[in-house]
Amino acid sequence: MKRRTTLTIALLLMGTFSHAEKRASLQAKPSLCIVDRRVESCDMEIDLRWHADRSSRYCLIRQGRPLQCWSSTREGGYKDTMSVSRRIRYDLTDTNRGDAIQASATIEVLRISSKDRRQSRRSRHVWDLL
Amino acid sequence: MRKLVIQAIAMIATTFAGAASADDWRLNVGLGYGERTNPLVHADDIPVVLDVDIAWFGERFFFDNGDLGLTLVNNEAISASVVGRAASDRVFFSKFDTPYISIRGANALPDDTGTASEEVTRPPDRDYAVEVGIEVMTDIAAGTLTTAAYHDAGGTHDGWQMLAEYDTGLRIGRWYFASAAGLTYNSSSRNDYFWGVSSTEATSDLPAYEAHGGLNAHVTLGASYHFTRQLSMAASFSYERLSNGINGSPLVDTNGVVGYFGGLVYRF
Repeated sequence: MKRRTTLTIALLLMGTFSHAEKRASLQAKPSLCIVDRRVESCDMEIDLRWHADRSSRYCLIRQGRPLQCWSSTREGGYKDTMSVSRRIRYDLTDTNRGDAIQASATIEVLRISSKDRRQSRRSRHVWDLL
Repeated sequence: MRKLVIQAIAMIATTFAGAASADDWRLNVGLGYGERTNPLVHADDIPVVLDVDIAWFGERFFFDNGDLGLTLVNNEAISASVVGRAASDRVFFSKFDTPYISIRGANALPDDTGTASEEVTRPPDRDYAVEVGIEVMTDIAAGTLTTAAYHDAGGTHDGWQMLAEYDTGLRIGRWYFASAAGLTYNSSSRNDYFWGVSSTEATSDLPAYEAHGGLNAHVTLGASYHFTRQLSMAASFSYERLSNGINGSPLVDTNGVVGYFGGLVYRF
């Protein structure tokens, strides 16, 4: 019983600390690009929204390249239009804290069918229904 | 000699290890519920709760859900492979394993004891057939045309099968829709092995039948919604219209086979 209580308290404390460390959030929508063998990229207008606990100078970075910076503010938004064919990562950095990354968001690419035509063979077994 | 064998094994292992990458493997697991209807009389439909899709494609060889392939050509225009597979028609007969008893009725002649006779009709016994053939795939418009011809390689039915199928896909946001339609011609030997009734199997309830060759037609539709790169929700529907040679058999009580599945799919 005592051991269980200790474990619960430890987990609660860990949750509190991890929450305290999270100072900002960054969301990207849409966050998934579906490609197949014929259409290998997605033309996307990505809506990026961020919030921070305190005001500072924040910059939005895509794959290491700055897109926009905001001064003395706690939230912002940016629309990024691009053709996506591989995983894209966005970072929100705080320039007053040595460009430390405060939050990140990714656009994932899901390849439904491979470039290899053979991988789109259709199974014809009785038990395969998908 | 021993050194030579070790060197050969090391060379093969290096070739495979070098050629293999994450893109060569495919492992999808679908969990949900589906069924393939069974065209056989007195037979249960085939339930599918878990649909596992496992495949590996190398430059020359591939394994695709039990099919083994040796690729002859694979370029921008065409993919051609020699494929070996097990014909899965046998699965229908595994659901036909309960002998049914027919008590001959009013029209039946009494036997020597003066009572109506009882006759047991045994389910027909069929084997998995190992088939080998050539499969050719090529891109046409927004889809892929697959043509293939297979022949029995194990002396099970001594028949052959030819097929042509066109498939295409469409993505809309997080949705992906797939469709396919095709024709399959089964030779008389193949159809007769699976769907015919031989004189030794025939009873008064199950007359002898010779199944001729014929053309089956099929259509498949699928839709999937992708929550993440790994997890999706998927549904599929398929229908295969059986040729007259098959649906004329006394073993068969329907003219088509329906398949459906709905569930969650995880991509590894």
